[in-house]
Amino acid sequence: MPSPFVSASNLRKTYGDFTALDGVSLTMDRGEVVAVIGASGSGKSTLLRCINYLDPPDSGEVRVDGVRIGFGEGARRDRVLPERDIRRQRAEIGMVFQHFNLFPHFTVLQNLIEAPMAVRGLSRAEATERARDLLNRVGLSGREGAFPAELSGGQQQRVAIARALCMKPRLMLFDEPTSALDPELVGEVIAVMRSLAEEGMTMLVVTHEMDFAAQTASRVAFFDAGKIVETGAPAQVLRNPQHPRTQAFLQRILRSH
Amino acid sequence: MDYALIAPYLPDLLSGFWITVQLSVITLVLATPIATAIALGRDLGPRPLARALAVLVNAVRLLPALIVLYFVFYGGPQLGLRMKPMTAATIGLVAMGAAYMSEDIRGGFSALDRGQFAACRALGLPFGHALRRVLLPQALPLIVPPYMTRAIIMVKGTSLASMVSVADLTAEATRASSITYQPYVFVLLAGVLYLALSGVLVAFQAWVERHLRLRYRLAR
Ligand SMILES: Nc1ncnc2c1ncn2[C@@H]1O[C@H](COP(=O)(O)OP(=O)(O)OP(=O)(O)O)[C@@H](O)[C@H]1O
Ligand SMILES: [Mg+2]
Repeated sequence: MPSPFVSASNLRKTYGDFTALDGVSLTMDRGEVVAVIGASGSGKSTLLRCINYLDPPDSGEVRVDGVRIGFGEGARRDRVLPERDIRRQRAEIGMVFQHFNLFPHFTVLQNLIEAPMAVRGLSRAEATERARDLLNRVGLSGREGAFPAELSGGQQQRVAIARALCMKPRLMLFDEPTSALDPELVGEVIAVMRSLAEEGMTMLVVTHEMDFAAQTASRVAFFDAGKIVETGAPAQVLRNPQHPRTQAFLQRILRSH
Repeated sequence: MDYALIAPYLPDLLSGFWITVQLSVITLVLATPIATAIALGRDLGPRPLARALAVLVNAVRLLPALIVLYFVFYGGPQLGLRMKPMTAATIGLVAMGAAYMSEDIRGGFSALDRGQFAACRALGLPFGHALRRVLLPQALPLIVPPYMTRAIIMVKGTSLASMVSVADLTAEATRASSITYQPYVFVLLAGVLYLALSGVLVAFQAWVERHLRLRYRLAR
């Protein structure tokens, strides 16, 4: 059996007395889109931050394409890698934040090319070509010279997605990418994420957009109190949830929509 | 103003002014990097370091400036450290200046959205690169106004050095006043010279702020 493209096994993370991740395991095949749903504070963001080692897990391990994140292999398997090696691993994993986190003092183009030049060693011309291509794909060609504050929330989030893609990541993490958007702007961001999924990007998406989870995700994982309590095909988890906590959560969501 | 009255004291006043300029420049040049290191250590350093720095900053911040200067000037020799008045004054002024300035710098950084740092890390940018290209450019416009105000206060504060027998502008003006019994003339003259010195800083601040606005277009 081939090993999965992404595997998180038995991740634990505590903040003081509080257990944010209580033994979380998850695998993803290449090109798979997994939607993570669950109540506020259940540990969804913590899982994403542990996967790209923004926040080191207390225990457990993460592998992406066979490479163990944050640690060496063989004789050095119990040693945390030096920061520069972890940075290199992290550059392979794109991350999109709820609040975009674009660099406000940079133009759209500069936002996209900064890291490819500094981390990947691309020339300005190469990075710019790649950036133009991506801006075109997210429907923002011609806005290279704009500053983030001059764009709508939906446009900013599309720039943020393009910025992450500009590093040519092998895995994309999305942390509630549409939660900060006005309802009428959600669709344009979802559309970009859909086309990315169709192109075969492996995506782990924390979201409250049940339509996206139902139509685009290949699997849905439901989080409760630092654990994945239910996972399966969208039709299964969303329409016929087995766990009482999933049932209660979906009832709440449906009522509020 | 009576030039004949001033003339005999002019060389001493000017040399006092020169000492004041030196003291100001040295204090600012030394205090700024120390303050930056303290600010970064307190915000991003390991917890024991952050705690120790906080205690140090507060100890210095909560004492009257003159007491700190006396402490260095009289306390140094007690500990076997013999130093010139100028050295003692510089140490005291730098310690105080750095303590206050570190607070101004920290204020600028803490106003930054933490998501900016997270985005830098997620992209794999090295810390130094993130600091130079992303964090500092956003923090600087917030740091510059309180920092420059602090710099001006520090320049004026160098006059305390006269209390630990440094022959600065204040010391020379006071000496001339007490010899001639004409304090008005010499105090006025000293005031004008201090004004010129602080004025340079005010002009510098205006230049820096304009430069930052143009460079990063943050004024939009
Ligand atoms: N750096 C931290 N220090 C202390 N506690 C933290 C930290 N980060 C997260 N937590 C706690 O861990 C818990 C899980 O946080 P997390 O952000 O993963 O939840 P979430 O499922 O993403 O929730 P939300 O839907 O609100 O984003 C929360 O209760 C939070 O208070
Ligand atoms: Mg979250």
